[in-house]
Amino acid sequence: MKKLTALFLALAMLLSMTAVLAEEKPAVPDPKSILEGVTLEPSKALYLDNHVEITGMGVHFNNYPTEFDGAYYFPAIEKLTNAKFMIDWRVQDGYETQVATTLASGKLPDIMTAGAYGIINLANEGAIIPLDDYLHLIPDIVEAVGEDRMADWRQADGHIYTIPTIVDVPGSQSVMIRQDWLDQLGMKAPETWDEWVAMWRAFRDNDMNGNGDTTDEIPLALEMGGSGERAMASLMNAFGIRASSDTQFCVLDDGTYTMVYEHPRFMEFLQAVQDLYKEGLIDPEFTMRKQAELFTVMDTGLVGSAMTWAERARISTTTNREAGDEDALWTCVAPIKGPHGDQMTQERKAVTPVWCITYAAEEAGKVEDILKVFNWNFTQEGLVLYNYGIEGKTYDVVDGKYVIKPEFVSNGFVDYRATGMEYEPFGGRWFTDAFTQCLFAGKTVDQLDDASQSFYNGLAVVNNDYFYSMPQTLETEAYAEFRGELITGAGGVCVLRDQCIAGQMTVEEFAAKYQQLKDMGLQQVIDQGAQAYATIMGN
Amino acid sequence: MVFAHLFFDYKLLRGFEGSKYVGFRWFERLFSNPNLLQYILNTLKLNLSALIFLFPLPMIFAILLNELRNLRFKKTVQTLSYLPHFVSTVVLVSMIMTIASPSLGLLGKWARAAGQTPINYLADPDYFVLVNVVSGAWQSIGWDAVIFMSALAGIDQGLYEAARIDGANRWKQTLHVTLPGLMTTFVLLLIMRVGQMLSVNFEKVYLLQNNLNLSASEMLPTFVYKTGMESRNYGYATAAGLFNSVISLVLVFAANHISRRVTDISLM
Repeated sequence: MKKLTALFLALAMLLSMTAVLAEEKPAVPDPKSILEGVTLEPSKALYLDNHVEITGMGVHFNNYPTEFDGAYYFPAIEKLTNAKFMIDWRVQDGYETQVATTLASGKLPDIMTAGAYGIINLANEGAIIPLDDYLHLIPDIVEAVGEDRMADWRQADGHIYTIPTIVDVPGSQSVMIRQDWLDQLGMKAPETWDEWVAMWRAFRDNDMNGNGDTTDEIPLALEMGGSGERAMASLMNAFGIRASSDTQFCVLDDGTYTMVYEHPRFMEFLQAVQDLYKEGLIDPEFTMRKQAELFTVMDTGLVGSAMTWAERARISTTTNREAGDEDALWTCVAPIKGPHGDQMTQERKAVTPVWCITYAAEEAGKVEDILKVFNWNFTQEGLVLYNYGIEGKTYDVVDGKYVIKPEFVSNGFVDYRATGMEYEPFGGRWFTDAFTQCLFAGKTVDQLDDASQSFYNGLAVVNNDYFYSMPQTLETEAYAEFRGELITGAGGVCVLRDQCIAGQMTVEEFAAKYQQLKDMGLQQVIDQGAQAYATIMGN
Repeated sequence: MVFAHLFFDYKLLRGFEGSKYVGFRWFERLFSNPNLLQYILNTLKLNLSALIFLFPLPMIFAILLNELRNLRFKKTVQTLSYLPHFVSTVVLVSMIMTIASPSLGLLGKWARAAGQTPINYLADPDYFVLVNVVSGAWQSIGWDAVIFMSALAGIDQGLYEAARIDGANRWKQTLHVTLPGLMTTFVLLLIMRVGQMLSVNFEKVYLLQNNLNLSASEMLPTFVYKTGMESRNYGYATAAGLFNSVISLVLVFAANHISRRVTDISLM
């Protein structure tokens, strides 16, 4: 008996050790050690004669290194180009107030990101300079943007003010459904509006999470965005409204740029969503559901479908399973199809404005050097540094291809970014190849587990036929003046829209109030927007 | 200099020299804003409700504490009641949101356990005053009682002794000695509180706002903040801020006048 017990224990120990070893991932090196023992020769493409220090102020995101010297990226740029970036990174919350304080101080850095303060507002303040006359100094950036995307680079006044960041990957977000809930119900992924509504009703009525409470399921969870503007994006798309990122502007079928409220299907959309809300089919907390809370309700098994970052399909599946829901599976599916057959989703914005050059840099005579360094960032050498890091340390060259070392991509984008690669707060051009290496972590699609396959499908498969190019929110003079009061403020149209959805007013009342807002200045926002759109499109 | 903003489309970096003179445009816009009356009413409603319910509570709490004879228990209760005061508004609001969330919060779970449909307190304008008052009571009652505790300590003990000799019980002592002894402090604090009425509570209300409760939660100070700091319309924000200050001044004079007429106690 003792021998049998000992044998059993030994086997159990052996099995558990094997399991641990099998799951062990290669350790990620400390980002500070990446440059240790590396000799970087001055770049042949650009090495400034005089050492240049470039001061900056910008918005930082949490998933990148916060210690400026801790990342390999900036010390490497300094060694290669003789230019040192000294950027005062700030958090995104309240960044516009910090910009205002900086402007009021009169002491501007050489470069700054506008954030929520708005590029046109900075231009109107005289804080930044237009770059139209300097494009010859940044040929690699001009080429990376490309002729067909120039409109995304220009601002409402037709000028170019920024160094952009470019992402050549159209997918980012996806609609996703609890596949295991569908399986329990014997349903398949919906393909028509009626099937979507039927699925949401089934999720609402059948205690899908099995906790004995038939009232806690959220059939369609919605994320509010920064100030409540984003919640309706996926449903607007289902009604054929090609909305901007903040869902306030759209381009009609005839090419007219206008506010979404002018779209011929907007009132129908509003009525339909009001009905969904009344029936308890959409998130009752859609005006308060921040991204973190959305993830929490997904992870706690309360949500049946959602529209969010495709990566969440993998993460929430894992979290649900770890919490004991072993059958849980979030499946990314094609966008919601509306009652008229409209099916579309927002393409990830390829060209995003990042750095503005200030008048302080112009006064200090630094503009030319700054632009040269940014342009270098878009040359082959700069792009390899941005996408793959340092040869031998973060990537190897195999058969002429850059292959990121497994330890940096085994956890998707997390460790890759934490090391400082694809340093998005600074910007550059993110290659599809680097993106794909992170996504697959050295595996093929077939080798991915079901959750990772779903993530991959959401990013690169199921939405591919439905992307539309998001129009910009053009910051015209009228938009800058009336945004707070007539769009996002207490009596603004965005607030009225949500109040209407929640049943605090009828669609007819909304329409009457919207007309009042147009008379108060919203019509100017619409007119100036249309004019600006024509300008940047070269019409 | 501050008032000069009223007449300019002020640009931070350009200063007055580089900003456009707009005359009375911001006042015209403010007084033609169809929501202005709603903002004023919301401001008064939120602050008056807080004043009516929250202002007497610390005094009552201080009197009750004063009646406790077990010193250790009294100190413990007093210390525990202070603690919420040190919770920052951001944390407080985060706690309120967590508790009140119908999907994740305690209140939602209790409602479902009782077979009720959870109420979305933060999305319903009808509940905003309640949320504001209850959370305010939790946070401020202990700390605000400190002043009354010190005022209680200043009441001549001889008065209590005389009352006891005259046959007054504890309730009569409270009614005829304690309350009159606190009245001066109460009225002075009340007048000062009325003066601040339009500016208190700003952070909490601002952080609790969402698109569905704005019809009850948008008040003049939050409107001023959004206009100035979020929309960067400094002239318009200054005009609204000035209007807010004028109302505050009127309220202070009114409170002072009423107090003088009723109790003979006043600031001026």
